[in-house]
Amino acid sequence: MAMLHIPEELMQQEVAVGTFAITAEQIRGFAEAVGDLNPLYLDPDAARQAGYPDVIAPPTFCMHLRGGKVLPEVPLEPGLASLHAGQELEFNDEIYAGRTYTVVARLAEVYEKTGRSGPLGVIVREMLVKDEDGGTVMALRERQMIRSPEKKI
Amino acid sequence: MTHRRQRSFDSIEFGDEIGPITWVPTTDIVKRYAEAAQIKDTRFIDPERARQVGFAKPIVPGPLSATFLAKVLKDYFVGWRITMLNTSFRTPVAHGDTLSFWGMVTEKKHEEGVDLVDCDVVIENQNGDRVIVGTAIMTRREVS
Repeated sequence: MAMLHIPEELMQQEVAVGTFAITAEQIRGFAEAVGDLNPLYLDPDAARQAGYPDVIAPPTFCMHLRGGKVLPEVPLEPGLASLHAGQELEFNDEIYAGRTYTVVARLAEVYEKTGRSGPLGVIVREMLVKDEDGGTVMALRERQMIRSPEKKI
Repeated sequence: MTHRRQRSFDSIEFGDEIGPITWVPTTDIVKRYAEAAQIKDTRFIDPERARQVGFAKPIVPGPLSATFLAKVLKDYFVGWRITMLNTSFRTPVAHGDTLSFWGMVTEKKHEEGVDLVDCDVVIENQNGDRVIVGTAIMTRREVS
């Protein structure tokens, strides 16, 4: 019996996560919170000397943009447990302070398989960070694993 | 300001090892990350909430460990950028675990005017369990 029941329209839907005007303060706040004090994230002079127009964001700054919004939301049967099984970050460019980015998300893939511990559902979401010209700066693909609650994670 | 020397393409060899570098994600670090990543769900902090969603106890968010991994790569490959970082979260990480990161250069090439280095990356806990495995592609930075 299928574990995941995803409406077809949800599979084709692109969801707006938001539009974000990125500031140097936001980047500094994230970098300091994760303990990554690379001068390129904190010091505009260091960033400019390295050839950038302003400070750049740490690679996983996209998690700040995503926030707690795991989109698109997928309704799960009551009692199923879920686990963040992995993620892929792909970059075409850096995220810069002083620029505005639009973030959208969609379901990239949904499938089920049987593992050693029983049936598993896998939901792959893709979040795209786009610049003001509509170009994709980076992609975040996250794999969410769904399993029966009998198995403690 | 201390300027760190860029790592040259010629200085990198197939089989070069990165690390091991250790890191202990404390509850305080998890709280700071949850705030920075705007995670409202308290499953990573609150034992009762963790149990409700199927965890035996609060764990370290996988993306936080991946953030550490990205930092180690950026610190090693000074002047390079991460083009791809693919990670699988194999085993839950508990608050206070001692994590060891290490990586290895598995490929080095020059394509269409760009220097590329492929790496395998691993994070192990104090029991030797591989909690995160992954791959990364580093490229020599191109500033737009």
